[in-house]
Amino acid sequence: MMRIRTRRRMTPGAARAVILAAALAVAAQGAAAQETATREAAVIPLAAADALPAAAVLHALRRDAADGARQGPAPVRTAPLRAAGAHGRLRLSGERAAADFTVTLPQDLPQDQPPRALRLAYRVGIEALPEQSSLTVIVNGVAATPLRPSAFSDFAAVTLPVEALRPGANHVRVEAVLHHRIYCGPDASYALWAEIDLAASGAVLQRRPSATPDGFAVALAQQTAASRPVEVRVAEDVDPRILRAVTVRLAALSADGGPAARQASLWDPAPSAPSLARVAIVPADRDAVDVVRGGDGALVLRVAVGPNPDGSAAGDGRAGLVAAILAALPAPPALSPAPALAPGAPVALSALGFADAAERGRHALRSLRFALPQDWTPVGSQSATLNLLYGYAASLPQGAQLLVRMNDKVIQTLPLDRGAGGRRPPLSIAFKTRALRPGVNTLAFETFVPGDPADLPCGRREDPLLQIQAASTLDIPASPRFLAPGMAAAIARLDGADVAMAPGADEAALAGGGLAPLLALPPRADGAPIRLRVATADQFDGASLGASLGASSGAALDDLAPDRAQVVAALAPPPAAAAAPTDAAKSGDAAQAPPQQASVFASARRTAAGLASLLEQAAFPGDPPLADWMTGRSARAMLLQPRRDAPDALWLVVAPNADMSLVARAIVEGRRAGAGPAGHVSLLGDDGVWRSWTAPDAAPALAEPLGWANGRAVLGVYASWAPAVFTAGGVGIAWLSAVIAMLFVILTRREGRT
Amino acid sequence: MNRRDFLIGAGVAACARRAAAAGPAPGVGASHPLQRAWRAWKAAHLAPEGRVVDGYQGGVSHSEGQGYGMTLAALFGDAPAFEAMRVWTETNLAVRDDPLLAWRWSPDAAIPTPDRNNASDGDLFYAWALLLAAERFGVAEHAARAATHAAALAALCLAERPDASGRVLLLPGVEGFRTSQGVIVNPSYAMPRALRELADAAGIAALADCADDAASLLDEMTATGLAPDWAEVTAAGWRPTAGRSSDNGYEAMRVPLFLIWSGDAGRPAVARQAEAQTRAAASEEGAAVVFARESGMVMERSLHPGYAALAGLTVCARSRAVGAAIPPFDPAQPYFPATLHLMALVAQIERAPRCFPL
Repeated sequence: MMRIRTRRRMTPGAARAVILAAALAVAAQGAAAQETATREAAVIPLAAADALPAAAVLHALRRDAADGARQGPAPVRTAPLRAAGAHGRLRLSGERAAADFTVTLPQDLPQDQPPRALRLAYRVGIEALPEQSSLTVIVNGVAATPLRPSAFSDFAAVTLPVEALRPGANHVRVEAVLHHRIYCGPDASYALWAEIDLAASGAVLQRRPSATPDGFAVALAQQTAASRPVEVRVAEDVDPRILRAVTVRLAALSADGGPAARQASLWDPAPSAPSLARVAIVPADRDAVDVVRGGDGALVLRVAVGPNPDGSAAGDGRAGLVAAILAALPAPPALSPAPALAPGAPVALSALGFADAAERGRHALRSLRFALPQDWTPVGSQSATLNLLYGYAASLPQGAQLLVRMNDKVIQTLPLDRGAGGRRPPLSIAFKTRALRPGVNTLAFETFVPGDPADLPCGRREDPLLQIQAASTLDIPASPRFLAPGMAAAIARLDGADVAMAPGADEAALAGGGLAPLLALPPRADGAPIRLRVATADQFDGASLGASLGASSGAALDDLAPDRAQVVAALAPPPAAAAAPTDAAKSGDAAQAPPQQASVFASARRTAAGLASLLEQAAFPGDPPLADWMTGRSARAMLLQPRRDAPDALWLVVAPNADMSLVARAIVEGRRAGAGPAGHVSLLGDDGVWRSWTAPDAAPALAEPLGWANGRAVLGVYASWAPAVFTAGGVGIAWLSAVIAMLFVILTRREGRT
Repeated sequence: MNRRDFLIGAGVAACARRAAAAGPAPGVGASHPLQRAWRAWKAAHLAPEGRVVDGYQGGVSHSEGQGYGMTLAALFGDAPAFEAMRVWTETNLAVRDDPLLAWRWSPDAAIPTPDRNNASDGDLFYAWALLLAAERFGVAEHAARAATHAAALAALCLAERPDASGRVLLLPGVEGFRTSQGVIVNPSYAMPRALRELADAAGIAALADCADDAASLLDEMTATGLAPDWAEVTAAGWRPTAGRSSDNGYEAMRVPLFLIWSGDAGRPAVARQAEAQTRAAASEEGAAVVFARESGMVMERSLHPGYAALAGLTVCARSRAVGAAIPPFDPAQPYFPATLHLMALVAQIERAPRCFPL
């Protein structure tokens, strides 16, 4: 329909201004013969409809050329290999090694296109002889054709046809058999390795994961397999309860060592590596959780957060949304704690998850983790027994041996180069219970078989060099229930709900993912709650530490907790360069000032203090005084158990430049491996090792009634803890008994005479 | 005082009144997280001398890039960046005998601006940027420049529709876009909000008319398909024009963005585009960037996230969903998709708050 409208009219002045401007512009062009000064400008005659001036053509071409499709290589769609404690690249070491994985496929796979291929990105060390080496992939018990390795520098990806993949969880095992090109023996075995790129390996999918919770789980697995943190993108005001629920679950999903979640804004630029999966928390009219595809192709768990139903930050109104979030995210992997071993009776290694071992490599290491009760303690000179059922091949070269270790301490060295080999009689290996500790312990069998000869490649043999039967038993004596001094027991019982920031500390670490590995610890079954307060060194001060622990109770802190200066010094970044020897004197630093001339009384005081220290150390052998132990040490984090009467009250102080999530993981991993924080002060070094200090006068605490049945064992424990005191006490009792006996003899003799 | 000065003064006064009467300032707050994307865009596409560099086009600069960059700088409250771009623009592109800008500048050419024709979208955004900057930074001179430029645009780049309806069209340039039967137009050049705000500030009603008339032309076009990149408007209506794209491609993709940004998300052009993008669906080959106008068939895709941002904003603006498939900003993409990406994010904040980038 023709639209008839009244043309808006300019004011006369404006019209003249426009006309003047147009006239000036046109006049300046100096082009056409006829020009008018009206808005109905002359139509420029054209010879043909497409014979436009160059300007117009150039205009039209402004966007056409080469701005468009940027095509890269076709994306590889895989459901990645997942293994506990592994992400990025996994290394298999030695002549024979294997790794077990899980591959989880979506349930909504197309029926006519089930996955029938598995992609393996691998490489092997150049020392491996390809003709005698192989990589075998076994899917749900069905082995694919062994692969002869050919990638020695860069990773190569091969696609293996497999038929046994199915929706849901699949078990995949990769077995590596590697032969050294030149040498034979343990050293040659050390040099052999194969690596698997977990990010580039997995079941090949016909299409990318769909926008469903199943698909999101696959994308999430792809993200963590590639060692990329999962972004949690939030609007400016996000409910901390929602954020914490998401970050804790993501931490639990990567509790196998993968990278933590990373909080970002919804408007932040893209990360350097493309995202495959992320979470977006957005405000909305009502709560909702679903999976959508982001503009970059990533799968996004969209958490729409409606108005706070109960109007308060502390209320429970978010419980429904939190439950929906947890239901949409994949379930965390089932934790595999160390199997529990009950002391007091022989336990077969098979009951602890150990399978019959058949070693075929010239060097082999097989370990078994088990957990003793936290209130078990070694008693005096008690012994435990490993009843080993084993055998070895005949005619093994001289020097072949089996080392049996308990927590890195060799408890037995067995020669394998004696006799005719074969199955050996059961061997009873006794070792002191001092080699054990409450909580997680590790029993290891390490085999060394020299080459014969060592300077030629090993000959082919399929029979095992050593066999260890799972029917072997471990008999650890029971002990009275004691609680060892220090924080190990509290750390072992820690769960996510126990963690909080120290008063005045930044809560962001709690909600934003830095502490997520700790927050993801599963709930404790029973027992009193632990309180773990977290602060950075610049936030830590003794006053707040004392206040938070109830300093008004009068409990002394000094002997169990370093002062602020020591804490700051231990957690300070290393200096860039050592100061010149004269600088300390110039700075007037008293700690480094040259020693002053001592007065006689000061010298006497120092001598007396030194003697007292010597006596104390003799009475309670153990760690030196805390101040001495702390001197010169540096750490990225410090755990404290500062009160004797409050063993469940802990502090974590983190260096200002330390990665909070790495510290949190170190606590979790140390707890899992049995080599975590202990004592009253524990420092996490840059090497990831916890080094602990225990107050030398802190006695183990008996956790059961003392009676005739356990009295002797209890005495043994205290004797081990303070042998000099016990000996002195024993000598004292003996002397007193002797005195009493002499008096009795003297007195009765006198009566006899009279 | 002559009439010109009076008009300009009236325009300045209007701008000042507008600034005083305006509600919350447009744009992005100084502490908004999107400022990080702005800094990344500058690092990638803005040379220190204030020249926006179009790397894909041989490292040239053009009035569109300067206008876009200045507009974004004003919206992000970045006065130094704005001033650098303004000075460079006026030094290097203001070479015509009227206030309009030469459309293209080549760094390696003996004569950097051999073609002194203007590009009306560049001039429009340049003028709008000056107006925004006058309000954001409180610099009255920018308002005066905006008024002058708007007046020149109105005087030189508006043409009546050949159907004698009295409706006006925005010429893509002063020269070369009139044919024997009509006028060649680029529907994406007439950014409604810019036209209206300049019309209001400078008192040039014709610009507001142009905004309305451009919208009604779009309604005509989208009655039979998607908005075209280029078209010829004749007395009989409109038709594809020879020699340039009549598909819905790299030009027309800005139409829904500018409509949404202008508060016109309800226009049929946006609905059509949203439908086409929804049908095109997400693909591993990227967002659809060129559609056959009438059939909506996807003719080309691109992996540059900026184009996906346009698609995501458009689809979300026509839905009731919370959150849009707008990817995170990637400064590594070329100037054009990067700039559109940033514009889409600003438009989301200003006009489509529900369409959070997911």
